[in-house]
Amino acid sequence: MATAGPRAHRASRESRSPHVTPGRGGAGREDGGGGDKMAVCIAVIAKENYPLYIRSVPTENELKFHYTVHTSLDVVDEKISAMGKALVDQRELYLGLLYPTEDYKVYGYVTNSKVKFVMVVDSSNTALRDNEIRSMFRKLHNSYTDIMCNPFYNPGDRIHSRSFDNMVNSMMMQVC
Amino acid sequence: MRGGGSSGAEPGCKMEGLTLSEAEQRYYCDLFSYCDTESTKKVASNGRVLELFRAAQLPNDVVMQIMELCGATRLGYFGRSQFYIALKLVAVAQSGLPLRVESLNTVKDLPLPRFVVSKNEQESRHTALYSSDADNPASYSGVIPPPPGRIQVKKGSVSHDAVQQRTSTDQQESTSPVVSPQQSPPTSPHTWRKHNRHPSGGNNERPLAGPGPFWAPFSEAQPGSSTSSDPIWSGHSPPPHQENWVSFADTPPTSALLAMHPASVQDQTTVRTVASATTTNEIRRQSSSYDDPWKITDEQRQYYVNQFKTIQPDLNGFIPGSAAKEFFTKSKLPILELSHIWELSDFDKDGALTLDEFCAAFHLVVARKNGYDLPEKLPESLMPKLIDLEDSTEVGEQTGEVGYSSSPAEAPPSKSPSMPSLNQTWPELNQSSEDTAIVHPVPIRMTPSKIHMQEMELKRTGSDHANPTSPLLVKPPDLSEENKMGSSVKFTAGNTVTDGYSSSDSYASDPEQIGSTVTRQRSHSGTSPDNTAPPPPPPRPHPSHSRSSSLDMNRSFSVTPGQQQAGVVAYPPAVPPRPQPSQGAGPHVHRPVDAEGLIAHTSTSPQQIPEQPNFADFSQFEAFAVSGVNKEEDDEIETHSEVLQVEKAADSASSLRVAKADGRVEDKAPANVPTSAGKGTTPLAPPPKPIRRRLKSEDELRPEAEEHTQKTGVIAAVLASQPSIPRSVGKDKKAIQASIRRNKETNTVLARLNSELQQQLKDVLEERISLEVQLEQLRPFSHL
Repeated sequence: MATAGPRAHRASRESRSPHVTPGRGGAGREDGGGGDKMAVCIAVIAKENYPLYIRSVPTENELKFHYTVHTSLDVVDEKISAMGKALVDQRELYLGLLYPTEDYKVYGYVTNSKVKFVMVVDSSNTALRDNEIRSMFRKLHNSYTDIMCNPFYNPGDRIHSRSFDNMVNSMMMQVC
Repeated sequence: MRGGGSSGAEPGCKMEGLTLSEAEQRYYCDLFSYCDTESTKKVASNGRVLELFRAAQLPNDVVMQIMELCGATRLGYFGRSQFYIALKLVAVAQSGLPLRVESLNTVKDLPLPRFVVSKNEQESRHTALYSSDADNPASYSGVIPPPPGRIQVKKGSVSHDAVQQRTSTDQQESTSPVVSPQQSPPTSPHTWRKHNRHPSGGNNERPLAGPGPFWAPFSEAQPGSSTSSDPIWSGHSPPPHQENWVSFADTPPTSALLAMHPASVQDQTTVRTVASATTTNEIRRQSSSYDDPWKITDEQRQYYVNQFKTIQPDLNGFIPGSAAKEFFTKSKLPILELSHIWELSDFDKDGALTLDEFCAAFHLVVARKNGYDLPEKLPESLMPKLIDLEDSTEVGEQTGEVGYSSSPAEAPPSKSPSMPSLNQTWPELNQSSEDTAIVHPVPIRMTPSKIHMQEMELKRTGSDHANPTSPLLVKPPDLSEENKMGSSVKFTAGNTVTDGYSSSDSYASDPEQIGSTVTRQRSHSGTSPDNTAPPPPPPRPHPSHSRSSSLDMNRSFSVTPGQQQAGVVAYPPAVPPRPQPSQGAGPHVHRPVDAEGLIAHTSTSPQQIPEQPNFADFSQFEAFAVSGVNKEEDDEIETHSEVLQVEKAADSASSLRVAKADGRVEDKAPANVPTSAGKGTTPLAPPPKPIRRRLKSEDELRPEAEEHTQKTGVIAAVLASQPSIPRSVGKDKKAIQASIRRNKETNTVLARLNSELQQQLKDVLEERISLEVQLEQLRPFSHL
């Protein structure tokens, strides 16, 4: 509540002042004008830990995101194993923050078929809340299942779906 | 012109008073585009127009007439409007109607003009402007006769010459057999040949847009439908047939050529031909609002339906993904594209294709085969309708026109059906479980609760004195909870307040507790003391305090600090208020409160029975009360204090509790009387109070049963004072008896409270254990 207040206030203030670049919300603007959901990199990793889909915002060094995602897989595995076999059913799909780095935070999500979604978000983006991350993962999961429903898609293939791309694009940070 | 699309299409335009349906509009646009070889978008090349007219298989004089009517002869060229008029006239003529200008708009349901198209339209397109420019209207007549151009330009086949006309169609077609194999690839030799032939009249018009080699599978699928009015066609091997079909399929994606195809295709397959007039009519009827390149013509749709039947006989059924995959794989499109097509067409994302979805997918495949790029989103006309399409019968229904809203719902919306299902899986299970827990109905003891309710009500609101019943009605649950006493701890304070919390905590901490709702609510508030507790308590005390402060109760209570022993007092005092009015004493304000409390008290605990009679008979009670109360003291004072006490009780359960300790009027505090016992003797406060308070009070009560609670202190004081009052009266025996009775009542109430609290404690402990377990489970994840 407290946070919402100032944020809302900021937003309102911004909206009122025309000269201020229209921002989504105070926090969002301060973070550099991200879009609604601002992920820096989104990756879909197969069960065997090879990437099915990986996309990041265009930066000078995109490989670092790839590396980050790769290293996060260890954490994912650790979390999965920590659950234990007994709790497989109760294991929640959303893994939460995998680990934070100086610049970003990495969130993880694993499906029941051990397909992992990894999302890297910018640390400066303080507007992102946990439930927002969850909703983003949910969307990812939904899109992924839609892809799986496509008979032309062979599980294990790289994902080339346009709809999936569109959905991911909507979640990626809009880098100016 | 491919992809040029319906260049310059003017949706729903009217030209010179010509009203075109959407289908017509589209069709004409396509034709115009086709004829617009110079891409002027304004003028159709004469040559092409002539070819077109030839393809219409109309007598030359008819064509001439048409041209005159449309004004082309006059103008010397075919502007768009002239062209459209001409087309319409062609349709009229083909329908056998006399050519009249008036007939343009008066004829309803005119089928689309049919043009027999020859293959290699593309080539011709590329190659030729055959003499189009050179020709002039005047020469048309001479040109017209020529071979209706239909027929595939097959290499070496056709001797389509000007000579060949419609009548010679057969001949041409007969020649065409050769074509088939070669048909597929529109090859330059064809064009070249056509070009040569051109002077004779252009048979090469309308080459099928077909990307050549089509679908072998389709051809296989088509054998049945290959019967056509043109023997030749049937004679052709599938490829040409397919090509025709394909070209026909091209129409939607808007190419000028395509417009021809449908007609030709119609000729080619009986199936198609069957429809033509009807379908065209229907198409026209349907008419989308504007030129829709993706619309499926009836012939196409029929074809698709047939294909669907080969896979799935039941038209209302589904084609499983695997079968569809095999089928479409035969089209030899890249898997990637097929995958995209699937994404577009599987509207409900269920991995299976309904008839609509199948038709859309097929259509997209055809389009893609013809070189049209796949759209990013499913075109509206391809969207599956909400209602199931029939097969050919429905004809006119272009897919997507009706059902699904014109809103461009494509993939994203289509996801919604699947999304919710997926989303539902996201649990929300927790909530559901909570809900289930919440739902735990536990029998409520109404009687005590009623009293409680009343008391609580009174206590809480402290304002509504007038209506004894209203509080009851209003807050039954609250009261019931309160009645529960101990258990109601959580709830008490404003059930209103706690209600919100209660729902959160459903884990019905007190399933066993009395009063389901009550317990439930209680549990909610109680189970998560942390969650709910905080808020509830404050309000609670508040009203009471305010009330008490507003009333003279404070005073009165303060006056009688030491009364506890009386015990019984609590309850009886409730009664007195009523009589008081009769007595004319007592603050009227309190009266209702007291009355209510009285009622409550009386109605519940058995021990109140004695009071009940009192209740019933105020006078008696009065007497009793007076006697009892006044035993020790002044009547008025007593009543007054009682009233006050009652009120006080009503205000705060805590006070009751405290009173309980005192075992006096305080408990009585009618409002408070949460305890069913309500005897009031003991403040019993328990019920309405929030757990904490209750616990506290309970503790207090237990250990000492002294007025001693936070706010109950006052009440306690009052209550305490009460007893003292009677004592002071001096009627020892009676007073003692009365006090004994009250004490007993208080005891019972307290006992009940105790048991309830015990229950609550158990539940809370259980919860705690479960939470600890959960914590342990979650611990591994918290390492970050």
